[in-house]
Amino acid sequence: MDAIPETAEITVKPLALDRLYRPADLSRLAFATTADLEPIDGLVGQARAAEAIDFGTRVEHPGFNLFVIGPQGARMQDAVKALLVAQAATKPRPNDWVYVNNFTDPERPIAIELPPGRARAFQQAMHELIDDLQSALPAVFQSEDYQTRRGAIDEAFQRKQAEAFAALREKAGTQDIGILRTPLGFALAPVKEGQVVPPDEFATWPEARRQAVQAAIATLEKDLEHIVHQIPKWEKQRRDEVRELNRETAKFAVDQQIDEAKADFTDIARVTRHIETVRADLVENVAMFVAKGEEGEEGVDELRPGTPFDRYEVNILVTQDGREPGVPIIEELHPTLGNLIGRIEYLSRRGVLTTNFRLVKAGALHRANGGYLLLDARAVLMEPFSWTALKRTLRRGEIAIEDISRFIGLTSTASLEPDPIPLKVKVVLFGDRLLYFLLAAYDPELGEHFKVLADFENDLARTPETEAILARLVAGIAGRNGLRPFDRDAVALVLEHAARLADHAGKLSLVVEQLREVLIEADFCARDAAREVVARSDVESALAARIRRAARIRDRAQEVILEKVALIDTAGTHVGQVNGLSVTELGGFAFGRPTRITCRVRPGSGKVVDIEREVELGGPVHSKGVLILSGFLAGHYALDTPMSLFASLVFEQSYAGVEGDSASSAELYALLSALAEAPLRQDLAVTGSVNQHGAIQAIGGVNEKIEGFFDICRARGLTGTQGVLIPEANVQHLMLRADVIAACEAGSFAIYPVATIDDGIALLSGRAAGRRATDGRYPPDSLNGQVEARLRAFASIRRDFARQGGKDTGP
Amino acid sequence: MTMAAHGFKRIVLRLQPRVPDRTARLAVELAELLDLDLLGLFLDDTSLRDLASLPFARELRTLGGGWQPLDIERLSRELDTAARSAERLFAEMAQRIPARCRFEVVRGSPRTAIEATSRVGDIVVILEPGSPSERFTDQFSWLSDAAFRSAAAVLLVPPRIARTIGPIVAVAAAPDDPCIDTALVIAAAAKEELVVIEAHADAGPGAPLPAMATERGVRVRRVSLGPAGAANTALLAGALERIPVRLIVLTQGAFDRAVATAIASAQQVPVLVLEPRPPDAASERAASL
Repeated sequence: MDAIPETAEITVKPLALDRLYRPADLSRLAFATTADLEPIDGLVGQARAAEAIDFGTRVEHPGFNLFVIGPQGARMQDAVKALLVAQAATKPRPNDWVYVNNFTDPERPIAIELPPGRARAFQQAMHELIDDLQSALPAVFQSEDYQTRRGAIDEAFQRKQAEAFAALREKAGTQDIGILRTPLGFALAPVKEGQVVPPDEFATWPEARRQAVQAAIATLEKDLEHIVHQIPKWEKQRRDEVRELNRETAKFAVDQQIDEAKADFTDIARVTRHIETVRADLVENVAMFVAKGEEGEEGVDELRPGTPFDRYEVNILVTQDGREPGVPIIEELHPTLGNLIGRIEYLSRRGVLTTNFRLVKAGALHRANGGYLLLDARAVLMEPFSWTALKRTLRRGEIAIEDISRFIGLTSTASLEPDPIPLKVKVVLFGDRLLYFLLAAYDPELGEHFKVLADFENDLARTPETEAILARLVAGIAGRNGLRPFDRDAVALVLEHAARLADHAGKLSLVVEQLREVLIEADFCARDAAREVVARSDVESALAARIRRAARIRDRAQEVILEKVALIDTAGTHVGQVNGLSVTELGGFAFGRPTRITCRVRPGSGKVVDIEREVELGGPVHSKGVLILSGFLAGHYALDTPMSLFASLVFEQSYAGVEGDSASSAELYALLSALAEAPLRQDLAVTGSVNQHGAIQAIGGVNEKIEGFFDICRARGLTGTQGVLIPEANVQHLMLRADVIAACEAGSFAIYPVATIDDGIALLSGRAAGRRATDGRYPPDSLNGQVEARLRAFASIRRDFARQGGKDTGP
Repeated sequence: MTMAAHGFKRIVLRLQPRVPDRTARLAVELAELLDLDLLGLFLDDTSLRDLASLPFARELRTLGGGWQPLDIERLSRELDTAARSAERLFAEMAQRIPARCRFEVVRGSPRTAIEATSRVGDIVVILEPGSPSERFTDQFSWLSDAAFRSAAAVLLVPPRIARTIGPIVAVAAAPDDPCIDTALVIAAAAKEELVVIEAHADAGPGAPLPAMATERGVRVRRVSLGPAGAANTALLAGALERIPVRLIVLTQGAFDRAVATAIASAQQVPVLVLEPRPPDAASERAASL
């Protein structure tokens, strides 16, 4: 391994300490602990989303429902709910809704709207009405007056029959003719001494007598026929009279009670109309109240759930009775179709599923009607039929309860089609951004129903003012969760952690849930330490513990490097080899680790081979980064010569996929090193992507990458020369761990901001990259000059080879 | 006095194709209360067979069909079917006291069948038809006449029974009217109150009550109508109106059959009509009670 050249001209200097970490500035807030701070709830740093929510909740037109998107853990629901609570309280309570029986078509229950809070009174009034009638009606029908009139009707009927039959019997008797009952009717026969004349005896009678008897019977048969034909008419007449009497009696008993029940609802026409329908039905079906005899017939009603009197009851679907003023805010966590649009329940009676209007149950849309319905978009999409039902309901502008089991053929029993209920609700869907963008791309109806997008920010700009706001948010979280107060230093560390979470020293994360978790864990540490106030050390302990709990994979990865299973040098130099850095994120925990990148070159057809891509381990972005290297070479060196290079690049000991272009600068350094045969320092690690002009571009996860290499170096012993080259654009993102900063402060580790490939290669090789002189050539001893010379040499070899008639079959 | 003091041994229930539940229950309950046998009697009416054998015989079918010839074979089949149906019905009714129940098919005219079957110690149940058309048939008339002429007591059952609980009423035409004893036995067995309606001249609070009333703890109430009571049915009906009666017991002779039928019909409760006590038995009564 080559020694580090000491004569190199290095222009890139290590970053100053103040660029590695930006401490919190709480100078705008005077407080000792969070108990002194006025807490903040709701939307912090979300002006864009707040404006959208404000607009979306106030605009009244259909389709202007809200789709709220943002990062996981931003607690969008809580923030939006807090905003809605204030708005909801200013609006009048929506109306109550009930379902009542449809007496003409029981399968289509009738929906009635009542002023807020009146449904319970209506239900009570109807219940009491029926309760009273259950005792009042039988009493009226058992009264002497009724029984007398009823008896008179029955008696008149009986008398008519009796008189007719008595007359017939008398007439027959005078002629010794008897009336007999046969199994199917009546017959007339000659009788003598209390029995029918036996046939043998009849045969002995003189012909004249037999003829006379037959003639008499023939005459009497006509009379009998006439009477028997009259009976159904008399019976009908009797039934009509009884029915009319029952109607009159029932009306007399019912009228007063109905009028009393109606008195409280004269202002609601729909209710009074229904009560009138009940009156008519009661009069027609009074037998239900009166006939409790043992002779009761088993009919269809026997299969109906509940009692026959249930038909007069009121099913309260939604009531505002007992609710706070204002419109409802309903959050449905399990938006199945039934939970969303309501459902029709069934009862099993004798093995048959039956239902009625009382088994119609409200859904979240009913409960939220007039107010706000909060739904998680992913949950809605995961439930069969819910998403389409929600859109259909919003388009119809009314809630129609659909029995899904019928659609999919699970039941074939008779069901209900309740009246649809007009819908006036503001639906607020919550989801992550990907879900929203996918829906927007694939569901053309999304825009029709969710016209207002509220996009929550992941972070906000970090200024003393915003830090003060976040400190109050911390106070709010601590207060709401019953945590100990946090002292000033602890709050400062929480804010600094918020910046780290934002991956930016100049920003603060707004992912409130992540902050809340840290606060709770810090409170736990303070409790263990028997402190009344959470100190900075508690926050540090909590953060360290969080990492410790999640870092098993990181530790194993570092272990294999330290055990030289994975080959990573942290000292010396090597041609065509460089330490790249990658970030792995598993289960919400991200860590960096170094990866050896190597390059081999030889004459060829101008191709830079990305081995990762060849074996399909490289993703498209990574491949793009490698192809950019060809562009860089083509634009920088030997412009007058065909590119005659074959180079292969590989991430050594990488057995999983590689994606991203953050290692493209490292790959270029390895390529240049290989071409120039210039050894590169192995005590440095590199991250950053590169463009075709050689400019180093920003990458993600810079803190984790630096810390990943630092951990390996520290474990092996810091040499004082070790460090990491990062894109200059990433300096603003640095919020490094305290131990890294301490090492930098001690001069045993360094972070180098690099803007160009020339800066980086100079630092890594210890040699100036070299600039083209006025003659257009790089200085021969510069690294660029050596690269160009090598490329020209490759071209020359190739030309010679072609001239000698060699067939170019190389790569 | 023993439980058999009432002198009954058997209830004879004529089974028709359709016997109302309450009537069936009444017969079974009474048999149970008084520890009696129950005879289910199906009458294979020969008067119908005789009629069917006449060349001009035909029937008017009430449920449509008009006049149809009476075919003796069809009639026989229908009667056989009805007999089997009656037997099944009786078996169901008799489940509570299977050992004491017997079913019998008796062939003959209604009159001869009852005369042949009923005897002293029987209670013949006569179910009053609900329809006047049935009531005015000769068969019912013959049946009813035969029952009243027989040595058996007759239980007149109205088409609809208003009550199954309440006092047992004895309508006594004389201080020693046997209906008082019978009603007392039934009241004791049924644990009901006994109401004695006194329709005779000796009525009054001073008249003695049967000793068993005290022995059995039967509560006895007296309603006095005076000597006119037996003749004045309106007076009797007025008295009965005021009592939520379960069963009325009276003695044939003091009241004619029409009165008993009218009471059963008006009060909608069963009326048990007893045979008058033979003169010699009446004289022994004081000693046995």
